[in-house]
Amino acid sequence: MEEKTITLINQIAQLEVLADAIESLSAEWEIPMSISLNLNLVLEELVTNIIFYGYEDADEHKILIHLSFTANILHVRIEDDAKEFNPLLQSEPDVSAPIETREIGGLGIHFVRKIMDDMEYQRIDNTNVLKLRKKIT
Amino acid sequence: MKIISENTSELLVIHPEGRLDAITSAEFEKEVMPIIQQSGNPVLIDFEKLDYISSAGLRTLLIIAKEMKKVDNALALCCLNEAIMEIFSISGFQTIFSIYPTFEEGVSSLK
Repeated sequence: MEEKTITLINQIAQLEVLADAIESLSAEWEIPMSISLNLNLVLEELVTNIIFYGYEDADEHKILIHLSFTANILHVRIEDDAKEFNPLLQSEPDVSAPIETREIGGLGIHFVRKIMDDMEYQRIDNTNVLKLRKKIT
Repeated sequence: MKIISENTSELLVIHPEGRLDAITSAEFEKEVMPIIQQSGNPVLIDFEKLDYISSAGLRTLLIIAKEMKKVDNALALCCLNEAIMEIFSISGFQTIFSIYPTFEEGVSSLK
């Protein structure tokens, strides 16, 4: 199956573009609503991290999200030229802490780990390349 | 994002609609926090018309929960859809919030 690419720039308002693109791709590939919302969540968390913490200049940068769906497996590849960031090295948040000491840091990556089946990171020529897979049954 | 709030003499009910993501959560927090602080009542957040929540939305809920703890007032959530319930479960939020399946149960828990 052909690969689709969503091209975003490093502005938080682009999350709307992302949500619309996921919605129409899910309709085209007949991906169930619950999976589609989870995919949107995973991509929002990763893209938000890149936009908020990835750049040290004020320039415009592209974030590419390549998606394909073959043999019931959804493949996602995110490429950005932000500073090196390997989400696999992030520590797990404490999800059992009470309200008083609860923190949100790390929860986004925790969602990615829990929702997707596997995740692979490479730094290639100043580009972060993150590959994710999810089996859809 | 659309937010409706109703304040009676004994309860503040907040109905967020649509999405609580990294764009809308800031707006939600800015709009809702002053209402909560002024009302001094227990708060029920009705998720009936909320379709989607990300960690940014959870962060705002946590800020509200911490504020309610501080002023020693009760907070309850109701009517979470299946997808949102899953996110609450993954993040452990299920155990730190009082969650009710129906609006009526949410209201009576705060009386």
